[in-house]
Amino acid sequence: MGQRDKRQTISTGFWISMFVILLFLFLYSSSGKAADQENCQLCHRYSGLAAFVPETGTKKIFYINEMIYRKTVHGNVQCTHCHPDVKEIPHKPAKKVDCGLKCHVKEPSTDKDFSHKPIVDAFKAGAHGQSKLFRYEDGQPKCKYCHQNPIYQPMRGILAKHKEAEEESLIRCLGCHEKDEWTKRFLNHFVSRTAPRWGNKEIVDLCNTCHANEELMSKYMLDTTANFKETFHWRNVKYDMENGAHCLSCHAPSSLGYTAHNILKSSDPNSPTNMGLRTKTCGQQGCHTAPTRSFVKGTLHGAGIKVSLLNIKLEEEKHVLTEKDTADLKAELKFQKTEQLKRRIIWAIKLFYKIMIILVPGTMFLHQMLDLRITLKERKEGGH
Amino acid sequence: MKKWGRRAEDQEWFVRLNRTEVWQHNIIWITFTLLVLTGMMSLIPTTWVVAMFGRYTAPVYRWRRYLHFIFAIGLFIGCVWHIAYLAFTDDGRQVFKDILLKPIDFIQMKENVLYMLGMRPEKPKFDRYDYKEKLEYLFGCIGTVVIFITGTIMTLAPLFPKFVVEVAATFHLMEATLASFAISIWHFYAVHLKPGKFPQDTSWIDGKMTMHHLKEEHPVYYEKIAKERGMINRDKRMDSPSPTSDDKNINKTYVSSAAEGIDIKERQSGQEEDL
Repeated sequence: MGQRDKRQTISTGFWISMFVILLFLFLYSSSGKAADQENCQLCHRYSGLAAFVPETGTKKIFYINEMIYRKTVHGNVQCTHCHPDVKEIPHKPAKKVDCGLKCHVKEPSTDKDFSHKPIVDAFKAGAHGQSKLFRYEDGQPKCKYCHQNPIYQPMRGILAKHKEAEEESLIRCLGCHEKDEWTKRFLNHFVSRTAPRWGNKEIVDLCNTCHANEELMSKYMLDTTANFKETFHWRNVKYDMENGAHCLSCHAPSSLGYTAHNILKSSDPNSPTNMGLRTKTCGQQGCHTAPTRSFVKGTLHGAGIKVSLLNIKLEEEKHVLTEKDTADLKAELKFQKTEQLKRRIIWAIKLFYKIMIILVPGTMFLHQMLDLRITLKERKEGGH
Repeated sequence: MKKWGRRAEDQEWFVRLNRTEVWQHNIIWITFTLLVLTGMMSLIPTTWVVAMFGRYTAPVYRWRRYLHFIFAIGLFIGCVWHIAYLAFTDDGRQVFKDILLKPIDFIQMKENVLYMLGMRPEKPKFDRYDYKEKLEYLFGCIGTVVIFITGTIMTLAPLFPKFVVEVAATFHLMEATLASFAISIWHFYAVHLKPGKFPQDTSWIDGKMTMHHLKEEHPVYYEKIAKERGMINRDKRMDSPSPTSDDKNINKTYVSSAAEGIDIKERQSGQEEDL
């Protein structure tokens, strides 16, 4: 091989290498560009990006892992769609996100800008969204309390009987839909929404983080739900029974058209836990068949703290309460006292049996041990 | 009829439980055990159940409810049969009469405890049923009634006030727990673990008990039987290792009688007439 051929070979190799490197850079940058067109990752890619909040004494982390973010349900939403007040780099502290904003993602059925506003409105009409009820900052749940921008769920249940079912579906989709990224995301969204994201046990635990907290519930004159886990409803929930009744089964039953976002106070006549609708709620498909009014009367959970709370309220506010309010509170107090008495009776039955379970089998065990001792002795002496 | 367990050919034995009683006992203990297993599944920690059944936990738990109900019906049938047997048959009425707690049982209980503690030289002489069996039967009856009433309320829950259902559920769970512990300790020791009985008292299979055990555990009743049949003199030879040919013939009579479910008293009266 001559000197000239050798130079030509090196030159060809150089240009091929450059092409491969440029192609890689192009592909890499194009995928990054789709997620971060505003270049927010310039700063937010650093894992140490955080700030101390003196008011709450907590640390806020502003690091965003782009690879993970891209796999989440909001992965195709640009940062400024939720943070519209951020217009420059570096920016001032961003305002809290309003989930009712319109983002620039198109809702495919109407081709309009997508928004969670209908859900936010329903939430605001419900017990958890009525700000005037929440006199304390730590009590009111916000969207982010339940929704943490989750990663899309894989195929589950009967759909996932083949391990590669999701990949096979994607291939079928791509037969007609040209855009890979869009098609994959659409399929992920569809698959993820075929099953509820929250398991029944997770729903109970999520609600219990606040509602089983006696101190927090006392602030809002509510009884706690700590003893829900002593009920038969919970036993069915913990074993993943299809009809295991969790919190939403009664407080927002989907089969009766309610959603978790507009849970109403039980005093609201439209609430599924209101006495007027309870027989319908308890008698929904898969639950109790034709329940009577006496069956649905009373509370299912509660530790009885409401009696003392009502007593305090009546005493402290007796000068400012109207006659009607006082009468209502007294009626509520009477009802709660009856409920408390019922719980005490059940507690007494349990205590009686607990003592019996220790005493009776304990005495029996002692008796049988004595019998064993004497029988062994007799056999030894009797030689048989 | 095949002889079970460690029962030797040369041992004498008699019908402790007739065929009806054996079947009743078997229906009741099998359904009781299955009810405990299916019932306790809802009480034991979830992790244990998941460890046992893995991904089949949910279907198993769903079937648990149906099976619990089916076994409850089985137990109910067994109990109704037993009550009818006690009420409408001579044997049953005799069992009922013999198994009722009497003042002497409390005296014997005290005497037996003193004996076991070494504070009395001899143990009391028990009749057909000792105080242990009578107490077990009595508490078993009370427990079954409680379980049935509360279980029925729980099954028909929507027809009752919620508080009544909650009270019923509490009684049901606690009574079942108490009964399970009591049976495990009391009955299991008496018929399985007790020296001389281990690994099991085979009377639950064929209803028969050796005369040797009867003499040891129910001497008063043994004496009645032996006296009625003129066995007292022969009884002196019972400990002999090789029985005579006459004894073997008597054993055969007992075996065949037991297999046919003939009442022991009828046999006794028949023998007396022959004599």
